[in-house]
Amino acid sequence: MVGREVIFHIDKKEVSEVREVVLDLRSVNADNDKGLPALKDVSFQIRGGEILGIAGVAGNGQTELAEVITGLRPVIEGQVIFLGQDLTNRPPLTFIRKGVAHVPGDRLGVGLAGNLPVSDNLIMKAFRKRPISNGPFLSRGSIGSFSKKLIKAFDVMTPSIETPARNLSGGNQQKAILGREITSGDRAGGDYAPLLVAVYPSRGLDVGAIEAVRTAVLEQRQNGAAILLISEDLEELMTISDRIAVLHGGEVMGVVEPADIDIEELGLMMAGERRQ
Amino acid sequence: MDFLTSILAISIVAGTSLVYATIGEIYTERSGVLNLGVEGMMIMGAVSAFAAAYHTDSAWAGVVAAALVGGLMALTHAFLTITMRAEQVVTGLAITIAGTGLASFLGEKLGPDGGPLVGLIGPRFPKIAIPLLSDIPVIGALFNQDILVYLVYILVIVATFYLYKTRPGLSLRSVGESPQTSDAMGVSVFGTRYLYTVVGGILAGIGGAHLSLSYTPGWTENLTGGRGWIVIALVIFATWDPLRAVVGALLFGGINAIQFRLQASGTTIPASLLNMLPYILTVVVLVLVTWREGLSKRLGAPAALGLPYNREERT
Amino acid sequence: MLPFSFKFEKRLEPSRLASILVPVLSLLLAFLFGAALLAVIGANPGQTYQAMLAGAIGTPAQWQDGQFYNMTELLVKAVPIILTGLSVSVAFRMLFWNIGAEGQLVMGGIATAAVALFFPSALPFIPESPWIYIPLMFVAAILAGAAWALIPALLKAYLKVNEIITTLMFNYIAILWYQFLFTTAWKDPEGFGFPGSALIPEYTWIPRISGRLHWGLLLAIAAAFVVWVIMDKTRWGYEIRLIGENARAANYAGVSIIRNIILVMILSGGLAGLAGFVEVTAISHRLQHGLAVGYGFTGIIVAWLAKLNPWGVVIVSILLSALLVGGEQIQITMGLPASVSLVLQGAILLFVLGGDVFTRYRLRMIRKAPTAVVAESPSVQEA
Repeated sequence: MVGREVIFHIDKKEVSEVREVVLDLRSVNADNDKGLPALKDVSFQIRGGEILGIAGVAGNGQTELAEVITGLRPVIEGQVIFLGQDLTNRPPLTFIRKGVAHVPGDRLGVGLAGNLPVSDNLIMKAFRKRPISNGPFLSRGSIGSFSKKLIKAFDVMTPSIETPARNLSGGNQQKAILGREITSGDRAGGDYAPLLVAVYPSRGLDVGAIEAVRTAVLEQRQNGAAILLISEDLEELMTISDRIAVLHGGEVMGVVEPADIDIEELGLMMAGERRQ
Repeated sequence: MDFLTSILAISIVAGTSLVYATIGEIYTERSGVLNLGVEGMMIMGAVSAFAAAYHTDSAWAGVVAAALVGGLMALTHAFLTITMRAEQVVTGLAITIAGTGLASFLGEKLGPDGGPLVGLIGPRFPKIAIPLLSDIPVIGALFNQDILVYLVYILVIVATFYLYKTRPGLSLRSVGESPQTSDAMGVSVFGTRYLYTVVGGILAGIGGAHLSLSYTPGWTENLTGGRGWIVIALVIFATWDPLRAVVGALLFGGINAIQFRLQASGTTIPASLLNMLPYILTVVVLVLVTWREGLSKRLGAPAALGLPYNREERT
Repeated sequence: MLPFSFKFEKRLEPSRLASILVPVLSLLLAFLFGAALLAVIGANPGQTYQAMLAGAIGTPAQWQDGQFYNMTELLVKAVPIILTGLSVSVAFRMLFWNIGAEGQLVMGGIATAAVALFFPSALPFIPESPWIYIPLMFVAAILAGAAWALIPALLKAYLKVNEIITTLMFNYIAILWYQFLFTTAWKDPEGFGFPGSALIPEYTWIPRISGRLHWGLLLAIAAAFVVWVIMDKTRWGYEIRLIGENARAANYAGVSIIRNIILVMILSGGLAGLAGFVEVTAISHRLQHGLAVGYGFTGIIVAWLAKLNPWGVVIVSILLSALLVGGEQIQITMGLPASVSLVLQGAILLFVLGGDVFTRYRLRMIRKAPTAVVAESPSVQEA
C-alpha cells in the first residue's frame, strides 16, 4: 500500500504568537433538513494558526455546523463573524470569495460532480477568477495548466485531467478536493485560505491518503490558517487539534485542550456530559 | 338541489378516469418509478377500448383490451427504466409521444375495413340505478352510475387498505422510500417496481377506457386532452395517498361539470377560454399544495422516486 | 435455471463503439417496428418507406429536372425543430424539465403577429420597413417565449413547484389562448368566416431563398452556434453543466441555482419563441390553425437523441424533419395516416433510451459456480 511504515508521526510545531480571531460564532441556532433544531446556541472562536477539533457522535449537528460556517445553511439566530465581518446568512459565494475553504463530508454527493472530468472539478472554486475565466469566457488552456499544477502539487493520481472524477479512488478524490479548497478564495495575497472547514476529511481513506490529508491540514495551520476539523476519529482529534469542542445534541458540551483530557473523558462529554 | 345533483353527477363521471389513473400512478410512484407515460397509456387505452368494444360488441372486451394495452406499455417503461436504467422522465415522455402518435394512427385504421374509428357508435356501459340508495337527495347521484364508476369506489377502498394495512403494501412503500433497506430485508426491488409499474399502466388503460366507453362515448383524436398530465399533478396533490386522490379527481370533475353547465346555458364566454379552466386550476392547485408542503417541510414524495436502483452502486 | 446469468457492469469511460452503434441500431429497430405495424394494417412496408424517402428528399428524376421541392420542404420543417430542440437542450442540461417549448413557441408566434398586425396602425411613426419590423418581431417573440417560460421558472426557483407539470399545463393554456385569438378576438372580419387573423403586411415577411425555404434557416444555425458557445465556452455554461450533474455540488461551489433556473428558462423560452417567430413571419403570415403541431415535443426527442449537443440538434432535426415530411407524403400518395412518422419518432427515442445502457455499462455473463461467490465489481475502486 504505502511501502513504508506509517505511524502518523505528526510534526506539530508550536505557533507561538497569538493571532487574530478568524472565525467567531455567537450563539448560533440552525435547523436540520427536517426543520428540527440542529444547533443550539453554539459559540466559539478560532484564531489563525489554530485547529479547533469538533468531536461528537455523527448526527449531533456536525454537518449543520460546517454548513452554517460556509453559507450553505440558514442561521435562525446568532451571528457568524469572519475576520471581524458579519457574514450571517450571506450566500455561499460570499464565503468562498472571503476565502472560506470547505472539505465536505460527502465527497461525491457535495464535493465533486462525479461525471464531470477531474479538471472541471478542480476549477469549481476558481472558475470565476482570471486566468481561468476571461470575462464571461473560460480559457481551456488555463483550465488545463491550473489542473495539472494542482494534481502535481497535491499528488492526485489520475490517468488524465479528462477522467471523470467518479473513477478516482477515494483518497485521490479527497486530495483533489483538499487541493482545490486550500488554493481557493479571492483574497489578496497569501497562499492559503484563512479558514479551512474540514468535515471527516480522512474518513474511508487508506493510510497513505490519511497521512497526506493530515499533513496538508497541519501545513495550513503553519501558514496561519484557522481550521475547523470535524472528525469521528478521536486519535486524530487528540493529535492534531489545539483545542477540541464537543458537540452533543447540537450543543457545545465544553471546549478542552487535548493535553488536559483523556479519551474516556472525551467519550463521556460526547454522551452528553458537560464540562467547563 | 337539482343543480347540485347534476354537478355532483357530472363530477363523478368526469372524475372516474382520473381516479383510476391517479391510483395507478400513486402505486407506481410509491415503488420509486416515475411514469410520465400516463397520458400515452390513457389515450392508447381509450382507442383500443373503443376499437375492441366496437368489433366484439362488448364494452367489457374494451376494458380488457385497454388494460392489456396499458399494462404492456407500462411493461415497456419498466423494462427501459428498471432493467436498462434509462432516464425515467425522458422515457415516460417518449412513451407518451409514441402512444399519442400510435393512438391517432390506430384511430384512422381500426375502424371497419381499415377505415377510421371517428364518428362510429359502439357499445357503452349503461347507467345502473341502485334501488333506494339512488333515491337519496343529492348524494343519490353517487348510486346512479355505470359499472366502471361502481368499480372505482371499490378500487379506492381496496387500494387504501392494501397500501397501509397489508404486508405487500408495506413492502411497496419501503421500496420507494429506501430500496437498499428493502433489498437487505429480502424484498425484490426490481420485482416490486416491475409489478406496480404494470399495475399503474393497467389502471391508466382502464381510465382511458372509461373515457371512450362511458364519459364521451366514441373516439375522437386527442380524446384525453391532457388528462394523463393532470393525473401526474393529482398524485402530488394527493400526497401519494389514494383517498386524497378522490378529492382531487372530484375537484377536476367538478370543473368539467361547471364548464358543461356554462356551455349548455349559452354563455358568451368563448369555449377555448372555458376549456383553459382545468389547466389553470392544475397549476394553481399544484402551487398551493407545494407551498403548503414547503411550509410544513413535510414532503410526501417517496424518497427514492425517480432514482434507478443498482445493487452495486451506492450513492 | 440457466447455468449463468447476466449483469450490467459500469464502464469507466463511455464506450465509443456503443455510442455509434446504439443510435444506428435503434433507428433500424424502430423502422422494423414500424414495418411490423404497417404490415399488420395491410400496408406494404417497403413501398411505404420508399414513398416516405421520396417524399422527404425527392427522387433522382426530380433532381435531374432541377426540382428540389421536397428537400427545401424538409429544411423548412427543420428550422422550428432546431430551435425547439435547442430550447429543450439548454433546459435539460441543468435537468430542468422544460416540456413547455410548444406553448413558448405559440406565445412567440402570437407576439410576432401582434407586432405585425397592430403596430402599423397604433404606432404609425415606425417606418414600414422590414429592416425595422423584422428585428422588432424578433425581439417580441423572444420576450414572449421567455416570459411564458419565466412563470414556471419562478414557481420552481422560489416555491419548488414541479416544472414538468407547470410547463405542460402552460402548453395547453397557450394553445387555447391562441385558438381564442384566431377564432374570436383577432379573427379577420374579411376572412369569409375562415378562422384566422388577417394577413400580416408583406414588409414583415422573412424573405425566401427557394420554394418555401427562408432565411430563418440561417437564424436557426446561428442560434445553434450561440448555444454552443454558451454551453462550451463560457462560465455560465459551466455553471449549467455543474447544476445538471450535481446540484448540491453546484450550490457548494457558490453557483446560484435560483438565478440559473431563471436565466436558463429565459434562454430556453426565448429560443422556442423564435420558432414561433419564423413560423409566422416566414410560413403562415397570419395566425391560423396549424402553429401548434407538436414541434415542442419533437424538440424533446431531438434534444435527447442529440445528447443535448447543439450541433447534434441541427443534424437530428434535419433527420426527424425528413421523417415528418415523408409522413405527410405517404398520407397524400398512399392514403396512410401521417401519424406513422410520430410513431416512428417515439419508437426511435425509446430504442435509443433502452440501448443507451450499453454505452454506460457492459453486459457480463456470470457463470453460476456451485458456491456462488459473486466477485465485487472492480469498477468501483475504493482505496
